[in-house]
Amino acid sequence: MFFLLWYSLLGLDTISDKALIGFLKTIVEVNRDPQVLQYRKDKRFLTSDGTNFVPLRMGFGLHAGWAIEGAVGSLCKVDATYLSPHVNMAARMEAACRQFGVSILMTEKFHEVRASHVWKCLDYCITVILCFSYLTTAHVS
Amino acid sequence: MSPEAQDVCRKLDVVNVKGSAVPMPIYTYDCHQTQNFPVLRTPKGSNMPLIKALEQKAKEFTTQTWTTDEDLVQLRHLATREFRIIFEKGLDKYSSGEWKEAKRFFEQASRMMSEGDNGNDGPSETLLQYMMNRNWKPPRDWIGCRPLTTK
Repeated sequence: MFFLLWYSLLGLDTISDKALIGFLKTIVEVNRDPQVLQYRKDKRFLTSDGTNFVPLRMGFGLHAGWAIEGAVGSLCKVDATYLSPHVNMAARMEAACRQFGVSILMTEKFHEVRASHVWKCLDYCITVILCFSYLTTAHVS
Repeated sequence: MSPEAQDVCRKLDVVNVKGSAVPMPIYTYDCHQTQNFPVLRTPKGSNMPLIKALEQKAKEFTTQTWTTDEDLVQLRHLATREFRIIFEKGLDKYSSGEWKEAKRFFEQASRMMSEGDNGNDGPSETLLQYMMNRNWKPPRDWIGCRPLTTK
């Protein structure tokens, strides 16, 4: 309980709020930034009847869960990759945006994520780190 | 998310994602994009560079931001309280299998959205299309959730 309080004081309760705001601001900026809006003047973006421009639309999928992070690629180009069933879920949500005609889709996991869940995730992380360090020490000794 | 944030999100549907048997409710934040957003400016009486002012604003985030930030409010202005109540009623009827009733509510919701010059409401139309394809009769084993198929 003490940890829950501590994490909510740290602001982890609103961690997903901020993620959502980040994407909402992106959507606003796509429709505001003068440099981005230049495309609307380009003839190639006009609709077939030539009266209107094809709007630039982006879709985002949000989900909460664990993932493993790793670098793939070569020394010339290191590429961070995130792998997990949850990443796939987020990708599915993003794809489903088009079907629903919305810009953002969130799963219930994301909608409900709270400090307690973050704490649980951290708990798993710590367990993994502990197991890992145990293995390395075992190897060294 | 904080209760304030959950309040401004709209529940759309309950779906079954391929490869997972658990029904997953999905939500959206209504974005009206065919409008002009005011150009970013530093607050009056401050000589901070814009980027610094924005950074400070981000640091000062509280859950109140959901009701005070102009961009966020302007983005969702078409999803009025009345609209959301009608949509929610439709969703209730839809999940309990009373599709004829749901049709009425979703059509009304879609009409309300189109009055704001945004075209129809995408989620309402998607669910109406889904029900129409099944002749407005839920499958026998209907549990209020449909498989999510992406084209």
